[in-house]
Amino acid sequence: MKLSVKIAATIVLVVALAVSISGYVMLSSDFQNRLDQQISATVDETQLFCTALGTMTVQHPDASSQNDTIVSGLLSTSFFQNYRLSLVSGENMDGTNVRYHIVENQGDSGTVYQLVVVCRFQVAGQEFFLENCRDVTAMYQLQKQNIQTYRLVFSIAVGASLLLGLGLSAYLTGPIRKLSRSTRQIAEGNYSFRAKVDTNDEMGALADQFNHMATELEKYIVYLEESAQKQKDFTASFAHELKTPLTSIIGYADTLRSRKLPEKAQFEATNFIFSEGKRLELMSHSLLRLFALENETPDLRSISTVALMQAVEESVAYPLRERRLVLDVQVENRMVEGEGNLLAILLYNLIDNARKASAPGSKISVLGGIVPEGYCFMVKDRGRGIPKEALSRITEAFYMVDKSRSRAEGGAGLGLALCARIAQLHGTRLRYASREGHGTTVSFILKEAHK
Amino acid sequence: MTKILIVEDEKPIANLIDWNLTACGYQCSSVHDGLAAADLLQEHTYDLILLDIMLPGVDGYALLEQIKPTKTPVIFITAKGSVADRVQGLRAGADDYLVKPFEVVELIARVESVLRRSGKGQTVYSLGDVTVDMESMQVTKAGQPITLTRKEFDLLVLFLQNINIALFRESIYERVWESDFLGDSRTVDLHIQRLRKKLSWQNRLIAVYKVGYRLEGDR
Repeated sequence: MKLSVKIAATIVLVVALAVSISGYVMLSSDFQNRLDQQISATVDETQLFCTALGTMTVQHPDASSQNDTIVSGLLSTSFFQNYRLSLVSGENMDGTNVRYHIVENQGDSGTVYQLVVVCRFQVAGQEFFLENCRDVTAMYQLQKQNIQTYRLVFSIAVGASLLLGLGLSAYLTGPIRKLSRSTRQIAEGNYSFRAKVDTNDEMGALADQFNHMATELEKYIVYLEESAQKQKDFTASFAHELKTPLTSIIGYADTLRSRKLPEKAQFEATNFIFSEGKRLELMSHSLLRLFALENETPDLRSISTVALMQAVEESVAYPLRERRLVLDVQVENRMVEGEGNLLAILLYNLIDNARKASAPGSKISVLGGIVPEGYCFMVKDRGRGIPKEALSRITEAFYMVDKSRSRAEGGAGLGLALCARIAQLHGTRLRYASREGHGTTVSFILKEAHK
Repeated sequence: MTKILIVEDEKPIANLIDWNLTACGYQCSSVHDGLAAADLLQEHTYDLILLDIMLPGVDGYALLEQIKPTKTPVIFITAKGSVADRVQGLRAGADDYLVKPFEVVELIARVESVLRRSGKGQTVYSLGDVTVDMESMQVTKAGQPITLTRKEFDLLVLFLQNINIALFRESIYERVWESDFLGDSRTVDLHIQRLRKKLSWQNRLIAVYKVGYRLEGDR
């Protein structure tokens, strides 16, 4: 059974019970009171008459005659028309002087009720019974009318309570219906659906909490979907990056083993196999390093920025010289928190990227200094810059802005993914500012070591 | 002469395809990015286009839209080998789908079959006094018809497509029997022997030690 029906039924039941019990008690007690009044009045009257009759009989001038004759004579006056005298009572008087009962007779115009009061009295040792009859039909008819009126009131009350109950329960269960609709929607995958309940009661609070839960769930689901998508993208890119060199290696090897090639072509083929093999090696190396960092928490120590830069400068010196690039280092000497090897890899990669983007003869600057948030490293080149639409994707594994140029430089698209991971391990992130054709500045902020 | 355009951003792969198709007698040109390919397609017509999907500039699907009105057959060459990717490629209108890494024999076979389907391929192969008509599937030697089984016919065509190239037993098995080679080379050997006998090619279809077989062309 529906909750609203249950509520309505309960209300109707309670109202019906209350109205019927109170009505019954009221009507019956009212009737009883009036009947009692009538009875006691009649009894009093009868007793009074008995006494009067007794006295009158004794004092009757005709005292010598039979008492019963005198009494009958007295009763025959119009004053006593309701009374009947008998010598033997039809009633079992049980030793009391007064008895009464109600007689129900079928008359011509419906049932007739009569109150019969019997009173015993003695005149000069003789026992008489005086019977007084009173018509109380009107009282019963009134009661009957009252009951009819009451029935009407009862049905109106029940009908009204039914309507009220249905309305009230619909109002009360409205938020529940809305909530259940929302749960259904969410279960069907419509995660952004919310229950619109604006009552201030417990239902409103429940709806608020439900919506809060749905919001949190939605966030989590979006996060899961995003990471699943990232994983999928990574796998797809990885497969692509793996299959490309494999195609060359397999293809050239197949050609070499199947056909007699001229010496020059033979050399070319073996060279391709070698360089593509090297590319695979480089990629597996970078990937392994990236995977290793996925689960690692580096041991952060206090290191000197100048010492760090010196180590990096030594390793980049040769590739920079090859391109006739000038490295301008202005690093304030401070102690920062970090893992020396990882920071060296990070700076090396950033400088190497700057080198790849720069035209021969231009300058690459590495600046380091205190900023309000900590110690800031900045690698600045005046190279070709990064297109705006590519900026958000450059730290994705295997993403390359210009694939063919990156290939020519021996890149696998993993350098910045690695850098971003290292930055993350140091509680910071890489910030890029780039203008196409003017150059790129990459910066990150490290925590200063406490002395 | 059949002209083939290779659109592939990986130079080693483009070069590899170029070599092998040139050796089969096709005239090849290569281009390494989508924009250059689009320009070339405006100026020249080709008999077949080998198209990489992931290209810098304009991607393979966009190029395919440009190629479609010219009715030039297209083979997609891509590392994306999932069923969904193949279906997407074929639905976009490609005639065939070649998944990296591929073997040279497979490349040549697919190129031949797509060309033949579009009516531009070689329908008649001949070597010495043997002639094979691909359309009627008839083989004649010195004018006399020769009855071959289906597998023998496929085998013969495979060798005719790869004249002077040593074919490995596993490659032969994978191409003709279209399933993975499980190390049993007797099936291949048996069919080769019967083919040799029927065509009297004892001196043409020669065994290559530890490798497989090679069909010697006319010198």
